[in-house]
Amino acid sequence: MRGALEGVRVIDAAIAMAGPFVTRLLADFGAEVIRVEALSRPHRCRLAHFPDARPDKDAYWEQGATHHEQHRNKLGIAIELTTPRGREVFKKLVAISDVVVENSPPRVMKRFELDYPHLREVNPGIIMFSTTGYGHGGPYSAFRAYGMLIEAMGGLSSMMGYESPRRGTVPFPDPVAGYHGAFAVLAALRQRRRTGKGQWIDLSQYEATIGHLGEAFADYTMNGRLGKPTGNRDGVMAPHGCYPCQGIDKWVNIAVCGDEQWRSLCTVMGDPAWSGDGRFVTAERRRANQDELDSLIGEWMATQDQADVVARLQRKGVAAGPAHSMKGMLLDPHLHARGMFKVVEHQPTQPGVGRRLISGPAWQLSETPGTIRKCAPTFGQHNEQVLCDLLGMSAEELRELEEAGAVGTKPLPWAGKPPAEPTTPEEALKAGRIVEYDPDYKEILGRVYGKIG
Amino acid sequence: MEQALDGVKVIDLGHYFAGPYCSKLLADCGAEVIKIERPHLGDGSRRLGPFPGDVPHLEKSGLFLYLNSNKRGLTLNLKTDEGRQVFKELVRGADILIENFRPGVMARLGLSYEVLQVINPGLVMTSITNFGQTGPYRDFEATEIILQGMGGLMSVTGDRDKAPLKYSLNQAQYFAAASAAVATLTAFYMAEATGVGQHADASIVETIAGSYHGVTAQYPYTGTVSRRGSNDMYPCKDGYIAPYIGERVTWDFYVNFLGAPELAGERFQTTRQRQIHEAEVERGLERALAARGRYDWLFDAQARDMAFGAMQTMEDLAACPQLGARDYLMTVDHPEAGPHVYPGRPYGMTESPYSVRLPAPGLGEHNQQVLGELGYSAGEIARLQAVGVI
Repeated sequence: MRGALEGVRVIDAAIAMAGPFVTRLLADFGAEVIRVEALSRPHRCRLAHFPDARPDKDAYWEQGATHHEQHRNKLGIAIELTTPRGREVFKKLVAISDVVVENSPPRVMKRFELDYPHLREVNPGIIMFSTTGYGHGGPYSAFRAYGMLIEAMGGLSSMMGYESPRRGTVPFPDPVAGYHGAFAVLAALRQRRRTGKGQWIDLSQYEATIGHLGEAFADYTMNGRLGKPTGNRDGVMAPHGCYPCQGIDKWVNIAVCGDEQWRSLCTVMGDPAWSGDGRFVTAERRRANQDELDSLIGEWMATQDQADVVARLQRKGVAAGPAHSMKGMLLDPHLHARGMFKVVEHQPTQPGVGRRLISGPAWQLSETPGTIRKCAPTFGQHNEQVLCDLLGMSAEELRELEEAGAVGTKPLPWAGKPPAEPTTPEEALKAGRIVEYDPDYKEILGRVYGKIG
Repeated sequence: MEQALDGVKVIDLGHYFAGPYCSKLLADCGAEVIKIERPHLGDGSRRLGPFPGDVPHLEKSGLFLYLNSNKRGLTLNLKTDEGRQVFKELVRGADILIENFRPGVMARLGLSYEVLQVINPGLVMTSITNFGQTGPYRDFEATEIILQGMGGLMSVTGDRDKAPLKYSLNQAQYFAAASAAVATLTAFYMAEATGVGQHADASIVETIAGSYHGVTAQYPYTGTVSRRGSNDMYPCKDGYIAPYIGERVTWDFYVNFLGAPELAGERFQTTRQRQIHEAEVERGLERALAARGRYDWLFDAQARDMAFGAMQTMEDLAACPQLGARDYLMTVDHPEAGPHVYPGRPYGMTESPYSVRLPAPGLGEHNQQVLGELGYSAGEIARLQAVGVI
């Protein structure tokens, strides 16, 4: 079946997370994405989550889970943009491509003379997408940024936390920027089809984050009011929170809207004596007495099984759901039925990986469903396919480029940084850095997804 | 001024957050969006606020005004035959339909994708729901916290000895709307070229669940589940600062810069060593960071290649020189609510500049105009209004 974006060729010269996310979305739906990595600076996502937490000393850069997830469906080439010949290859690729995606600090592509004004000379129809923490231009444009810090700068953290503000653990703004970025690229492709014009898109992750706080921003501009952290509580609904149930770090969220749902919750709890207490009769009273309410619900919830209690609450029309860990999501019957996670077979050149689960396309399309057609490439795996078959270079030219250090299939020694001495899962568990470790995780997943590993 | 999505006709049946934000993203790139609301009541977000002076008013909700600028407004009662007839006439001429009703609602109205596709085979219909159109939880009740929890975001967020923590406001719904907008344009890119439309089924839970590679990949590769805990935002003189050493400077340079030289030297060089001496490191960082203001830290650290972030509030953002230099914030003057400042579009496009062409529509503001374009006479429009269709 053809993909919706078949025929669109994208150069992915991105690093970190936001840029590769854009190209992943395009690749899942049929775009031909050619990922470009530098010999001297291979992508750090290659170092995240080795199979069984045991990197192979001769091939660890081929083993990282995050690399496999981000770069499935892509071709991979390794060219060194610090060399003139590497840049020449890059420009030849630009000449036959539709889109270039990059997210380096503004100075980088300029220094390589691969910024938009230069790429436009090579291909006037090219769509170049750049994203940085704060956008090109403006006094913060050269600031270094990571997703977690954008949460703080963008105002999200000021309204988040139990009592005092805090930020999260995952780089929340990165995929936010990724979705807006893919959208902008598709809009530009559509415009080009009508007008023939290429263009440059300059996305600020800071701004993308702020755009998802519209109501808080309006409350400030309309009323001068600033939102505060409210933990898991809500301004209207009560009870509204996350309660521990049976099991290791297992939790259930409940959000009760109105008195009818409150009575349904009481029924599921078995109508304990306290539930008829005057402190809890109206939403207003429940909000005012939330500390007591939460601790009473918590006592009950501690005796409950997660899946069972969620099912019973939902049957009574109470909004409830597990606060899933990754393991919980993988084993969740709904997400499994929806095909949320896909088993992907990896290559022998990616030692220890084999069949692994990664998250699938982000949405379902009825006619051209997203697919995982191929696993992530090894370092420089498609050098020959791209340079010779696509760009028409001879085998000899390719060899010359390799000898000149402009193209390669093995990263240069990792900028002095081999992977840190791995901590074993047992050690990490003992030190409290992880909450759970299943030595038999392959069997646990295998019962649902077939052979893993 | 030319826009990327010029001439793209969108029908927005969205309400509250996800549907309206999705179609707003299309509108902000030039698509012609007609927002359809129930007569008299309108989109529920009109009643959510915030309102100027906290006085509720259907035409003054800051949330509604933000999510619906650049759209025209039509009221239509889809529970009447004539209402559905008008809707189908609109679908016939449309490229895209966005809706975020519960699964099954469109079918009960007789307006499922299967029906609409017959009227317009090139239509791209995007349905945004909590759990998707299929699966055992399809009809589950959910609110924002349920969605963030099921998508795995909460379990890794918060303190290790406390409950998983929700991200502020309605992040899952905004997030899924942005994702659904990509789904929409993906399908539209093909539909415009081939005439083949399709149905996009976007689930809010799945959007969250599939977006954090670092988290999702861990268990299937290692059998481990990471725990909550890291925060790294410290109180400083006038708020909070998130210090981040980054990759450019050494640990010793970093702690000397912070004014915590006691943390330099042999015992603290690797991440592992610092984990062993965690309490000591934390104490030192807390003391040092408390000594200065957040912007002092931010600018000095950034000048030395360290990726610090200051915690900012909406007040800070409203005055932010970076946002000012990039013309991000937009003042939109609305005939009822007056001029207010709203977030703009998060990217510049050299050939498709952003502008606010229209403030959010009043309830039924464009009834005459939209129905007139469909060929209804003034008399027919008056009759539709009298019988409660519009």
